[in-house]
Amino acid sequence: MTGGRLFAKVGRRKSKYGDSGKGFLTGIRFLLCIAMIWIAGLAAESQNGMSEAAAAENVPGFEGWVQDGVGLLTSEEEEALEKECSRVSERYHTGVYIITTPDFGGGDIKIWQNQIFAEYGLGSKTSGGGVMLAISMAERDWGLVGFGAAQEAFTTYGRERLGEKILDDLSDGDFGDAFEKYVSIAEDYLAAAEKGKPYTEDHPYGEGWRIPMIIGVSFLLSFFVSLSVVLSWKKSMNTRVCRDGAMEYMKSGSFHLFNHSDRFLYHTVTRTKRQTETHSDSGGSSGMHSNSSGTSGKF
Amino acid sequence: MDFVQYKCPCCGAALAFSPKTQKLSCNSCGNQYDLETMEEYEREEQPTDEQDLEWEYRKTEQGAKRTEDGSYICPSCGAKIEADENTVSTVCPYCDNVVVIQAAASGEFEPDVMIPFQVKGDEARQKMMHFCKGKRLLPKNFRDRSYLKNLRGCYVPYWLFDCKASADMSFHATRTRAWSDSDYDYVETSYYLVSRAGTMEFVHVPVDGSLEMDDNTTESIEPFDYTGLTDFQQAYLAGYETDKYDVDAKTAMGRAKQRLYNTAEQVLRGTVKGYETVTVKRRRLASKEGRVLYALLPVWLFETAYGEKKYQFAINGQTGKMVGELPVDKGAFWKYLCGFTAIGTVVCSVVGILLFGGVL
Repeated sequence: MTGGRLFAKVGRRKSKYGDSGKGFLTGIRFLLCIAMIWIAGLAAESQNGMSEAAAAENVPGFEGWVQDGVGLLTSEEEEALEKECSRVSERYHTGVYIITTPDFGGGDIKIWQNQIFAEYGLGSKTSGGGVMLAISMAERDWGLVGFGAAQEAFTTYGRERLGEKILDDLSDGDFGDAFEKYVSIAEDYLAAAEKGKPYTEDHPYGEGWRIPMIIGVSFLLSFFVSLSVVLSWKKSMNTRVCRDGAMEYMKSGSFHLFNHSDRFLYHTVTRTKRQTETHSDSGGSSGMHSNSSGTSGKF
Repeated sequence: MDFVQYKCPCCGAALAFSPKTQKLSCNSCGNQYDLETMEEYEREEQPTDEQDLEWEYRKTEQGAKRTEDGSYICPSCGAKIEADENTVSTVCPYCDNVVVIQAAASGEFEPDVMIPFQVKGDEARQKMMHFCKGKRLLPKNFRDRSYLKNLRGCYVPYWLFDCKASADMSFHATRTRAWSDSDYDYVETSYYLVSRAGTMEFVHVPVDGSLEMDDNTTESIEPFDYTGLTDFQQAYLAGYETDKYDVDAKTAMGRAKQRLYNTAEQVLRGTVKGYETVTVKRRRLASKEGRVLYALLPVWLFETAYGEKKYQFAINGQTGKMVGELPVDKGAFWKYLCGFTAIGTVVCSVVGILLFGGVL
C-alpha cells in the first residue's frame, strides 16, 4: 500500500519534471524493490523460525512410536499401541508413528508433520522411511504422511482409503480404535508393498466383497433378462386377445361433440419441508516438496 | 318443509349459502362453490346404472322347433347322417359331399348376410405352419403337424349390431402446480368435474352367436372387411361346415353393449385434455336406429388336445389373420431360463470382475 502510494507520487513527479528525472526515478524504484524483497525474506525466515519453534513447543519430546500430547489414550492403550508400532516398524523397516497435539499452530498439518519428522530424526534406521498419523484437536485436523521409502506402500489411494477407514472413529472420539485400525492397516499396506503389489485404485484395499457382489448382481441381472425373454416367448404362444372396444366399427367422421364443460371444484395445497444440504470436508491429498507425501482432512 | 343440503366435494362437510359471496361455502375447509357447479355435481353424484340399448330385431322370433328327429339322408348317397339341432350344413362321412340341412337354414335361422371364404384350405395350413415356426417353447411331439389334419372351414354365426349412439359421460380430473420457497416445496392439486356429450355411429359391431366358439378367439380374428358382405346364399355353404346360432341376439347384446360403452368412453375421454389424471365418474349411452343382423362369417378352425387341455386355433377366412394358443413345454421353459441365466451370469461376472474387480 505504502509502496503503491510512493509509486503514485513518483509517477506524478515524472509527469511534472518530464524525461530529465527518468534515471533518478528508475533508481528509486530499483532500491524500493530490493528493500521489499529483503523485508519479505526476513519475514519468511522469522515465520519459519516461529513454525519450527511452535512445532518443538507442541511436541516437547518424541520418544518411541506414539506421542499422545493430548492424552486421548489410556496408559494401557498407549502401551499396547507402542508395542504394535514397534513390532510393525521392525518387521517392515518402516517407522509407524502416531502423534496427537492440542494445537499444531494452524496451516497445513502435513507441513507440521514434515517438520516433526525432520526435527526428531524419525524414520527407520535402515531405510529412513516412515509413516505418521497426526491429530490436532484445536483444528480437528488429521494428517497421514508417508516418508521416504514408505511412500511406495502409502500411495495417494492408500492414504485416502486409510483415512476413510478411521474417519468415523475419529469423529466419534474413539481414538484408541482409530489408532489400532491405523496400525493394522499400515501393516497390511507395508506387507502388500513388500510383495510388490501396493494398494492402488487398480488393487483396492479391503474390498473383497466386490467379486461376490459382482457375481450376485450378474446372476440377478441375467435371471431377470432371461425371464423376460422366456416370458415374451411364452406370450407369443398365445395371440388371442379380448377386445374391450369397437373403435374400428365406429363410422369415420361420425363423432360430434355437442356438449362439454370443465368445472373447477376445489383445490388442495400440500407443503413439504425442503431438505437443507449438509457440507462435509473430505480429506485432500497433496504431494509435498520434501521426500514425503501426505493426506489430511477434518474429523 | 323440505330441507336441501349440499355436501362439500372436498371434505364432505355441510355447505351453507353465503349471502355476501352468493356462493355455497364450507365452514370446515373454507372452499366456496358456485350454485350451478354444485347442482351439476349433485346430479353427477346420483347413482345411475348403465342403461340398456335398444335394438330393432330383424327376426322377431327365435329358437323355432326342430322338425327333424336328428337324422338326415344324404341326397347324394342316401346314407344316414347324424347331426345335432344346430347343424346347418355338414360333410357326409360316406361320400364326402356337402349336405345342407334345409330346415335349419331357412326361416328364422336364415342368415341376413354373409362373407364367403376367400382363404383356401392350403393357405390356412401354410399359415398354421408359419405360426408354429420359430416357437422354441413348442412341445416336440406337437411339431409332427398331425394337428393339420383337423383343419375345418366353418361359417360361424355372428350377430352384427348397428346403431347411432348418444354418449353423455362425466369425469373427475386433476391438475397440479408445484412451486418452492426457501423453506418448503408446495404442490397444489386442483379438482375438476368434466362433462362431455357426443354422438357417434357404429356399423356392424360383431358378437359371435356360437357357444362352441371361444369369445376370445372370435374377437381376436376381427376385423372382417364388411365390403365383402353379401346376401345369404346357400351355395356359399358348399364344402364348409355351418352352425346356426345357439346364442340369441338378446344374449349377445350384453357383449355388444359392453364394447360400445368402452368405445364411447375412449372417444369422449380423448377430448378431455390438459389434466394429469382423468377418472370416469358416470357413463350414459343411448342408442337409436339400433339394428341387428344375423351373419355367417368364414373361419378356418384347428382343434387339438395336448395334455388335458384343448387348444383352438382360428384363421379369419376372409383376411387370413391367424390367432390361437399353442401349448407350452414346461421343460423347455425351465431349460432356456436356467441356461440363459447361467451363461449370462458367467459372462457378466467375467466382464464385471475385469472392469470393477480390480483384477487388471
